[in-house]
Amino acid sequence: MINPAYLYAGILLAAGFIFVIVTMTLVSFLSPHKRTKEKLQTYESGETPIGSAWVQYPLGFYIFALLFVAFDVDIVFIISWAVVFKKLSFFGFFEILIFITVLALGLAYAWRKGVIRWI
Amino acid sequence: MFHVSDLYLLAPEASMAILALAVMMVDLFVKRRLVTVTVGLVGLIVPLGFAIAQAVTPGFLATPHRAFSGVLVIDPYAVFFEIVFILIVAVMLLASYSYVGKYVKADGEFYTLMLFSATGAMFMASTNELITIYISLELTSIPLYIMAGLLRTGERSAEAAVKYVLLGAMSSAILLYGFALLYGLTGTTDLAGIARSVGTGIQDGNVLILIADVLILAGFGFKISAVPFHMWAPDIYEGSPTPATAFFSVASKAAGFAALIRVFMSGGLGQVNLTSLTIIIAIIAIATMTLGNLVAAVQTNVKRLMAYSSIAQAGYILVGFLASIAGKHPDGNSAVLFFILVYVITNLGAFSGIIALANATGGERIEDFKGLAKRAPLLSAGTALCMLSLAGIPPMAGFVSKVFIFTAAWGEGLSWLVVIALLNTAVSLVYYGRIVKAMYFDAPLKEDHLTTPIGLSSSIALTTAALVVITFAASLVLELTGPAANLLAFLVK
Repeated sequence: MINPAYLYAGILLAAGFIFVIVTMTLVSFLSPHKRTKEKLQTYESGETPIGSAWVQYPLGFYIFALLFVAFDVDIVFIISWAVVFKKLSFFGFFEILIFITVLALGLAYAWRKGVIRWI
Repeated sequence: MFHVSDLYLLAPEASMAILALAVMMVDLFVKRRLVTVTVGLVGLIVPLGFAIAQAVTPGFLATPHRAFSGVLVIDPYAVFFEIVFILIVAVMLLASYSYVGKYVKADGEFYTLMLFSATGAMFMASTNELITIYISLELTSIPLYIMAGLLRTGERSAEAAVKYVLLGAMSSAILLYGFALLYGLTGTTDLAGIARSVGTGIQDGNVLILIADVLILAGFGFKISAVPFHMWAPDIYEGSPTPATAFFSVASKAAGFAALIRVFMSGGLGQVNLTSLTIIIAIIAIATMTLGNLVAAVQTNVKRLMAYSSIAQAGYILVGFLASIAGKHPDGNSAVLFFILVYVITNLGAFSGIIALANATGGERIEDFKGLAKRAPLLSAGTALCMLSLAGIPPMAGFVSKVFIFTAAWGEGLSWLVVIALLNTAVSLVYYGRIVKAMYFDAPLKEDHLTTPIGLSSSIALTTAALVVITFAASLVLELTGPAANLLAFLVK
């Protein structure tokens, strides 16, 4: 015997799919299609877009992204550490010191390799 | 809770991580490869010293030490693998020196990555908790992905790296799924806790635990390149820089086995559904040995051949692994540890020979080995000894280690598996023999004398010497690996 709850969930799932398919089909039949120049523009939160959307970014940009992630993770850990700092006391202090040192070495590496020079 | 004494238990891994960072900094500011490698080699004395100090202090390893709330466990098994990984790095630093200078871009990073990977491998042997095992696995693997792509010339290297990342990510996902199931079933990620649940709360016939077993086997199966999870190995072994290939074939494989055995033995996974588990592992072992050996026999590229050879060797280790979980018998385990040790040494030696040849001539095909005995007699002698040992020719260490594994499996009533393994050993003679034949009985390609750089000759000399010592003192080595295995068996009870 199948639990009736599964049956209801199944009906709901099917109804959801049918609703979306029916409304989208109806809309495509009923709505007027007038393609003006403004309507075909790239949507930039209401601003007038400048240039094409197919701009090429420098490939080296990913390194900035990587460095950003390093600092991001840094902050996530330091904030959660700061919240329980009193409880952890010296143990926590040294732990975070090790953590920051390792990240700082990573930054030193990136710096020395010249990846944060302005392109 | 944290105790200051925990730091001593962590010391080998911690000093290895610090060494990796130090090597990175030295490379960054000194920029001389000789200095970087020297710092690495000399620095290895520190973790090795800590590990040996833990091993030889009387009574220290009599009971397992747990640190950091049981996450880290220092027992003979962990110390054994720590020492093995440190020695692998030492030999690899020697063997890769001249090749890295010629063919590898970012040469300093190559060493740093190798050290980081070895740190992860050491953790894989010494953690007793699923999440930490997973993180150590990633710490081991991610540097390997980068190392695969560091060859200066060639798209093959980049292709190898991309393949390795994608397949590695997939295997991690499968492994994590298995770990998640295990956690869901037992409510703990601690292997000791899991072992307590298995057998009391979880009984025979529980399908979910069997699914978890299979997923974990599949996840580690990628690391140890067991069939059907082996397909990455030949392409990646061929495309990567040869020293990186050597490192994959020993460190990654040994680490995979270290963690696999730890999870199954300490987690007590062999205690339920043993019949189904035996069939599954036996099928994997048979497929791994047979496919590895048969396909290796038709290879022309030496690195691809070694890839299939290492797949076949993983099959033999799985036979021993099966014997140890089937019997909860220490013999199974000490045979496995001994086999891994011998495999690591012989493979390092064989690869040192291949690196030396690639370094001197750029050749990686079996044809390039023709008449090498006349061009570089000492190099050929070392390589040939290692190849013969891998094949399991009687007086060599490889023979002794195979005998141990097969007798252990035979003792557990796996005689049919042993017969298949023996047939496979016979097949393996063909391709190892082909290389030896090419070196000794074929006419040389050129009448010149190849010079082997000092680093490579010393790595070949070291591995060959270790091989000879093990061959004649197998019982002594078995006494060293014995306690490590006994302890694991004791933990299971």
